[in-house]
Amino acid sequence: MRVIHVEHLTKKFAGVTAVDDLSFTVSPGHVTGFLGPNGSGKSTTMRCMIGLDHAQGGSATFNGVAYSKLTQPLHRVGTLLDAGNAHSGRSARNHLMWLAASTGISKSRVDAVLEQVGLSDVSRRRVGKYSLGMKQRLGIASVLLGDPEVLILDEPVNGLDPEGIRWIRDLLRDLAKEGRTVLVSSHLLSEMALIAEELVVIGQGKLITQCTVAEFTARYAKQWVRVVSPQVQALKTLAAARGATMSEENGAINFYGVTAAELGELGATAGVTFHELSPQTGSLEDAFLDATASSVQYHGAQSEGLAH
Amino acid sequence: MLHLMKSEFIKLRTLRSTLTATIVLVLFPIAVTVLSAMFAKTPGETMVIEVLTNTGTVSMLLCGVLGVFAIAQEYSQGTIRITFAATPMRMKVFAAKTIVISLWVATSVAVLEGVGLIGANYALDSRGFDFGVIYNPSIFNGSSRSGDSAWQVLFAFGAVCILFALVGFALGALLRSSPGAIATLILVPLLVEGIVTALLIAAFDIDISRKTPFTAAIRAVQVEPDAARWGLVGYFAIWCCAIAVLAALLMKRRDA
Repeated sequence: MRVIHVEHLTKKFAGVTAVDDLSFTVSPGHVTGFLGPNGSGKSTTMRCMIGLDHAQGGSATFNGVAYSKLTQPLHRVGTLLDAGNAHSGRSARNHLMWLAASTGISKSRVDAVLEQVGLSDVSRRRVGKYSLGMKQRLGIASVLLGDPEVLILDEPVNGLDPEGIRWIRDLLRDLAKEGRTVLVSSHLLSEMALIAEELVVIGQGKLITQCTVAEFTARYAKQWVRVVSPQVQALKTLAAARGATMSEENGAINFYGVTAAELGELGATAGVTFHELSPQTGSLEDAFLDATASSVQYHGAQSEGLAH
Repeated sequence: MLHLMKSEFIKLRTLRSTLTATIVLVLFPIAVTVLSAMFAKTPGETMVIEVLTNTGTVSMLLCGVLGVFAIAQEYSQGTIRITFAATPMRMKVFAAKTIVISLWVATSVAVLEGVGLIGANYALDSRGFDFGVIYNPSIFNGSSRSGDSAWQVLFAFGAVCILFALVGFALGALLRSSPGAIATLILVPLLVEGIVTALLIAAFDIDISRKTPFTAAIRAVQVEPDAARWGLVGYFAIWCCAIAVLAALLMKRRDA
């Protein structure tokens, strides 16, 4: 088992709590998504996990061992915190060469990971000439360099084109299938829905929930029943009596607070004909927004407000 | 530790900025020394060594700049996070960087001094002057009043260059900014020490001119120093080590 345990992790910056008594566990065999609004403490948590930032309290362990106590950590935990963490004046190959040399990894392994991430042809070009997507690939190459059991990646799909996004999706899934532990943060929720099986959701540094993607969606996403019927007015009256609320959408009525079965039975007793009666579930994005609504630190202006 | 040192060596040799600084710090004193030997009216061993070490002041500062580059660029480019993630024991990183930059500077200064002396010898030889230092650097053929050998001047110059690299590295680690550390490194010896000395004399009649560390370093590499040469080097070394210890402690404690 290559489990990550984060227990009661707390990090403050000049009196401001960035990570607040955060605890979660990441298990091997599947990709775990790390979700939270901007400023929620995802990156700080990841930095604390690998000892780059010093936490004021709590701990993060990898199979029970703190990162700072790991022997040859590149072989145990691969981390990508920022694709821009490479000297712009150095070539990609040389960037990986010094990293490899620090733990005695061979040149052939450097060439292998460059091949794996598709940068072989441009490996001698300076990183400063790279696009953001190419830098992401270089960052992923540095993660793979030590063939680690645990991978921690902060926003790895940023800047990647659709082909690159599909590539990293498949790569992370394959790595997880091999039994590795994969923790990925992203604000691209649609992408997370495709990559992750489990989620750790935080807001303002605190854990909101840890569960599977399906459980999260079921728990936080809105559920309603979409109805198209020529006798919809009668159905609305019956549903309202049951405490349901309604909204209209492109000729259909969305019923909230009642199930499709209940609406079907109501319709049957009133002789209502249904052209459509379908249960609906909100997206992961909707669920995420609902779950973190109270913990969003940086709000954008509403469009009405911008108009003034 | 050897892996780490190899890694730090790759970092130094794969950047144009460090290579350019190294080439300039080596070639500038060589060029001036050889030109002096070619055209000076009264050339001699003392003059050659004086020119080499005096123009070498630029090299000292460039050694400091190399020290700054070795660490501050890691902070500005974000690679320090990868470095510390690969090697969580930060003191090992600090030690490896210190050793590698010291060896890099020591090698550069050895080339500078060796090529400078050989070049000056050829230039003087072609003019019919005998240059004793190249054959027996332990004597100045009686031309040095202090009685110090050429070896002592050359070794002191090498030691001061390494110490400049160390203090540059320490300033880079403290300030985490190449411009800030380089500005400090250049302004303190060239300007700040002189201003502080003048102010203290004017305000309190206290003369610290013989206690300012960078001035001590420059005095230490004079052919005719006004105090014990190795005492001056040692005094500068104490300052450098103090700054380095502070930098090491903060590197360990601060978030990366």
